[in-house]
Amino acid sequence: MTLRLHVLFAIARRDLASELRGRRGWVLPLIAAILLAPLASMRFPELGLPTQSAIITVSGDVPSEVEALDDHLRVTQASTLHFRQPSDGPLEVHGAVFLPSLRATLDTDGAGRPVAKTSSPPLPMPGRSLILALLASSILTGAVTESLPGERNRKTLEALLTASVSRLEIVVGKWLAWAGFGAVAALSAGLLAVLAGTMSPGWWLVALPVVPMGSVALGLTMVRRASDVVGGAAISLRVLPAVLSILGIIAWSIGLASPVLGAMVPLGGTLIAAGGTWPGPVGPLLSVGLSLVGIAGLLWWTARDLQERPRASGSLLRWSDALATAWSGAAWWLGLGAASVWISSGNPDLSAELVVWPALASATIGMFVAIAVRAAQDSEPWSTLGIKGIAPRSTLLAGPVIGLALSLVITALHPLIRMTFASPTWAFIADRMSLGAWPLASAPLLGAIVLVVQEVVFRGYLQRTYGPFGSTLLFVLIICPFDPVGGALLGGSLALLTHLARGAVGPAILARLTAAILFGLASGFLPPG
Amino acid sequence: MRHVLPALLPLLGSHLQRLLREGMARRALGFPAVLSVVVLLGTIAVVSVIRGTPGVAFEDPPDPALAAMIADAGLRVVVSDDVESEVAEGNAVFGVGQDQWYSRGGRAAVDAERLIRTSRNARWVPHPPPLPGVAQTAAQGAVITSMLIAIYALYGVVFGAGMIARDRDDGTLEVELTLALPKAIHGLSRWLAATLVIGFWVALATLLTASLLGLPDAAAIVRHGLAGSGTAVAIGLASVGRSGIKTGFAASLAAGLTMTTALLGLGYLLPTIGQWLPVASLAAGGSGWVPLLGTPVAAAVAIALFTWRSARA
Repeated sequence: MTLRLHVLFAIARRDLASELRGRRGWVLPLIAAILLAPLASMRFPELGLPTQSAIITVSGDVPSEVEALDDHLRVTQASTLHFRQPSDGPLEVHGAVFLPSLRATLDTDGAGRPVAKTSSPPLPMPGRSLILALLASSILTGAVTESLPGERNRKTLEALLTASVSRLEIVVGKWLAWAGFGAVAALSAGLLAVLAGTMSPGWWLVALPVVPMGSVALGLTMVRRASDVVGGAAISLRVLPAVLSILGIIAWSIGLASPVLGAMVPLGGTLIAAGGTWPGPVGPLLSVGLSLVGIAGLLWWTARDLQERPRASGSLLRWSDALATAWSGAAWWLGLGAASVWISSGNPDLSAELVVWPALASATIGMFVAIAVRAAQDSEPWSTLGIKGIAPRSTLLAGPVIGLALSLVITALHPLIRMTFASPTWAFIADRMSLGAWPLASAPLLGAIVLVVQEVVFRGYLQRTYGPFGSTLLFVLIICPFDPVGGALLGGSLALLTHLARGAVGPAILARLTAAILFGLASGFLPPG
Repeated sequence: MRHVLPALLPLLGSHLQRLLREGMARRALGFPAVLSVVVLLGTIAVVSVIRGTPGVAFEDPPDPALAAMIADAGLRVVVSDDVESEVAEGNAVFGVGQDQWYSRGGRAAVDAERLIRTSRNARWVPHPPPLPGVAQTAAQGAVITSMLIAIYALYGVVFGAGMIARDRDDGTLEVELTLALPKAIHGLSRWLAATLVIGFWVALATLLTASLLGLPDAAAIVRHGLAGSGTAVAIGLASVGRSGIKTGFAASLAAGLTMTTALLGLGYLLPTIGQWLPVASLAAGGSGWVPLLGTPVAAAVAIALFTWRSARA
């Protein structure tokens, strides 16, 4: 595929002319100048941390020599340091900051040593040129939105597509217009910053213009299917800044370990290099090179998808089913297991203190919302959820019997087959998950609702979508991951019952409630394990 | 009256289905809850990863009793010739040199110093301040939740007014009004649908926060949230008047949002009065029962107003 330069420039000129024509045409360059010039040239006061208070307040059994210190003031409550002298043991000083004067006063026994406060060298942070690059990119979101979706809305894109120009030429031409505008704006601001003495010249000047170039390519890719300016603006305004920021944060984080690896993050590496974060030419040049490759890929992708192509039949439904399944599983795990993060962050008591029922309720609501949203896409939502079908009377009668059998088998097997964990985090998650599978132990009424929702989700919607084996597998993975044998037994039996009930979930609900009540009675309604 | 319930249920189902199908509504409702939880979890996860297992650096291996105490406290021993560098480079939070100790500050460093001083029978030992318990985090959770629910209340106004204005513009409302049904049923079904959908998200956002941070009284906050969102939908329904999306919607919406914000402000300024009023009770607190019971009254007034104005239109 060849790109004709005169065609590219003609398309670029046409795009620039349509946006910058007439009196309104001054708006974009004016905004760029108003935003970028002061930021590039003005000197800002240095930011610093507030200085530490000169006086430390103390309370409790304060030794007389500490009271005599000039920088320590006795108060009755709400002190920074609290002293407590147990009858048998050393003096306890509760607080976060222990001044050298306090240490010197108390360290009379030779057991302690002076403590030097040591910290790491400051992290390499991007300079103001990062803001210049981001601003030069952000002022182009309107133009990028107007470029493809605007043409599609005005029906002029079809005319272009039928002309003797390739789709790639259209996309590259449009990119050339706004990437060029952004690059010139960013580079001008960067040079102004150097001339004004607010930034020192460096390799960041090479990376600076590539950021708007990459942003325009990413923006065009994002709006390639948008049918009008409003839809395009919604995508570019909402998603583009988020993607840029995330890529930048990833590149910066990786760059802390190795600037070369950080520079390899497409666009994000260029963004951080444009901020003058990494010394030397390797990071900026590598990031620029890789970003240019990324830009070429994005433009090719945009050109490939420029013309609407009909979706494969049924693909939308499969995607929405997969999404609903993933969402419901994530909601369940997030709701029940999220409190475990306090354990790994060093505050395990907080995880243990958090009440269980909100976790159970939020997990259930999250799971139900996922499936309800999916069911609403169908013309018969109740059937999708398995609620509308009428179960044969025999299966309704069989429900409690199967529940009784399941409770007996699982009560006998449960202590043998449940996984245990040494890690406190995983032990906590496993306990919460066990509670989710047998929720009557924590809150009887809420527990019953949880069981009904689980049956509607797994035996109703998921069984209709993925069949009995698929729904059983998902039941084990989502609800009983740490008790797979019990989960398979429970899920498989209920799936079979639902299958016999011609897809109606009523019998499975009866069986599940019976099993949960009897299992609860056998285990004293305590959380299993 | 005997026609009302059989007609109300399908109408309600239809409005619910339309709201759940609307991608923009789904995203708008999901964003506050999902974003706040993901940001909170992400922050804690990053802190956990950065924290790792803090080290305590020694020039010579510590005696086994001290090493056992360090391990029990969730710390690890680092033996190095240059303890200062170990601390400076972040490999250890506390370093024990011959004549000098080194600290990076923070609770792990204070813990390490406490253990070392204890093992040396020192005259005094430092103790870090206690970690935040549920009482502290629940107070933060209450602030976050009240902000989230305030956002959902404002959504309620948009949903209440938008459902009417959109249906008026595309002719759906006019067709419905020609049916041989009580006119109020159309306002009622829309109010119920929007309140149910927003109510689910309010409950989800509140309970997710409660499961992560705890809340002083999660059930009461859910009641405040349901009352606030239901009343906000009613305000939207009452304020839309005879507007469509293309004609006069901005003014109606502004009136509804202003009234909702004024109610929130009343709750902040006069909590003794605000605790009895829906929306205002989000800021004022209380058990939430009275505002919840007041919500159907607010809805009835709004539906009556909407029905009267629509019938005149």
